[in-house]
Amino acid sequence: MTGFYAALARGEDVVARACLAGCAVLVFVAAVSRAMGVPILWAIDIAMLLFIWCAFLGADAALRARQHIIIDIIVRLFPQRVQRALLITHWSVMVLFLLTLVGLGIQLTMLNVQRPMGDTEISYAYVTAAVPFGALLMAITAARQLAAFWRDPKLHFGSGGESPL
Amino acid sequence: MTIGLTAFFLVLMFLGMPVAFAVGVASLTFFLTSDTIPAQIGVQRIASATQSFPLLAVPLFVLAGNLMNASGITDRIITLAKVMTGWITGGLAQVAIVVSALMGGVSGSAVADAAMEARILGPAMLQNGFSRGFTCAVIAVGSLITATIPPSIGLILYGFLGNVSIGKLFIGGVVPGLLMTILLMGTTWVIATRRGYKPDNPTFPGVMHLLRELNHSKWALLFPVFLVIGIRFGIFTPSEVGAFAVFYAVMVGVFAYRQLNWAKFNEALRHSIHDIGMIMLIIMLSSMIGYVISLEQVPAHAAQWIIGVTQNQNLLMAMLVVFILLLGMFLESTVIVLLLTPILVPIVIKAGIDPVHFGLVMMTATTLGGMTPPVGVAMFTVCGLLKTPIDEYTKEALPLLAAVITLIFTMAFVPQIVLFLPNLLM
Repeated sequence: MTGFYAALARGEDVVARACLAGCAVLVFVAAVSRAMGVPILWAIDIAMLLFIWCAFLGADAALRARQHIIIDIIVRLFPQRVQRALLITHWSVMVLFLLTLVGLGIQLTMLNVQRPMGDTEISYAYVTAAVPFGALLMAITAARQLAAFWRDPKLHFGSGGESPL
Repeated sequence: MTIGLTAFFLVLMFLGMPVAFAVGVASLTFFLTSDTIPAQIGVQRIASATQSFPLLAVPLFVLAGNLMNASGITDRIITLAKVMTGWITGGLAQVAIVVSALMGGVSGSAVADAAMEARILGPAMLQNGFSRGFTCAVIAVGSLITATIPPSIGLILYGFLGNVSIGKLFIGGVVPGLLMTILLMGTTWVIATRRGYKPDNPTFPGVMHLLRELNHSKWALLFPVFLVIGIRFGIFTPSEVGAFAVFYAVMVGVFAYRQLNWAKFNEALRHSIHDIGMIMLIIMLSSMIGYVISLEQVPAHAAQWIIGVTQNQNLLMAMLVVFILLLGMFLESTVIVLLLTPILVPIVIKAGIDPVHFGLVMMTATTLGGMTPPVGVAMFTVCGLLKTPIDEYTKEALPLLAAVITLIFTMAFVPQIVLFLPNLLM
């Protein structure tokens, strides 16, 4: 991983960490202020804005690390050539899917520019913008993974990632 | 339409597409081919799925769990568990179960607990002569305790999707979690006695030693007490408790144990981001399927059908538990919660079953799905880390799984096991 993509990954990591830490701080501040009888209403709205960005940036980070859960119990039984064909098909479909989300997400964001978010005057478009932006990052990541599968015939299905439950 | 959509999703998933994308691709195909519903609605659902205050508890408890590991709380829990139970027949296996129970009070994730124990306790258990299959089975099945004792990510999702009080669900998890601990320790004791597995320590290290370790672990042990009190007196909502847990872990790590530094803090943040990204992508993309399910009034139809089959609460409970256990063998736990909660909660309410009672039964059965072969993420994680074939695991896990399944049915038929504490306190 070098050059532009590495810089992108580093930036994504910094922003995602800041979003998560900010989210925790804001919810904490909102809880304390509510308990003291002077609730800060906007804190929760901003926390939820940071949350969706953290979720999408984190989803891309997990995709890069190939941590998303895969059920490979059946495909492992297939011959190597079939597995490879499936893997390349899946990741091609995923790139297409993500690019579709980018398009639809941009349309949706445009529709929400005027809509305020919760109790604030901030536009709801900042929330929905996380969808096309996150999908674009994931499309880039998925395309790079696809290229890697294409180049290296030894890459195959890994067993599943970690479940959070 | 729902059936076609679900079938498409299942085909993609079993052909090895990442679960989040399988659900996303199937749902978006539905929206794109529908003449009546604009595709933007699907994307709208993805964004609005995150804009819910109760759901904020998920990232916050994930972060809190990772911070507790980084702050030294986990190490002290393991030392305490060794002093408490290392001298009992079954030694380190008993320690593993007690660690799951103690971790349960600070962490909400079975898989995180299983992975941690497989890394830290697993190698030591193998060295002490436990078989690989048994080591993996005790760690994987034992980690279900962590997901049952509050906080619990699974119960947050159930409460969020079914519109059930997360606070009551948390408090309802205390008694089942403790019963599960006793039951699994008993089962382990029987197996260990038969096989002659040695204790870790020959004798009980003494009351003074135990008190000293209790004192070292006091910050970990006090946290669940604060959590229950905070929720009981309505001081904090579960999301707020999540933020409080983050703050608490940082304070304990920096001031009490002096183990948490800037680098470890950032590492915990980074680890959490990966976990959150993974779970949230499934939640966000499956919210599109949730729209279709409610659009076609699947819950209402399913309720009508099931109520037509039986009106008997116990029979209904038994049927649902069997159904969930069977699904759990093949589907990933998060997917089961996301797909079934909106359908099942209206059904049980209509049948007169308390949704808090059902929540604990359902989530215990669902999370157990992560430990039952052939597909189970907790099982994959532990067996992967300890390089154990699934068939060796399966053979050794059977008695432990049987014990837990017995408990689930007992919980299903005796609501008081779950409801006693929340009714007493709230």
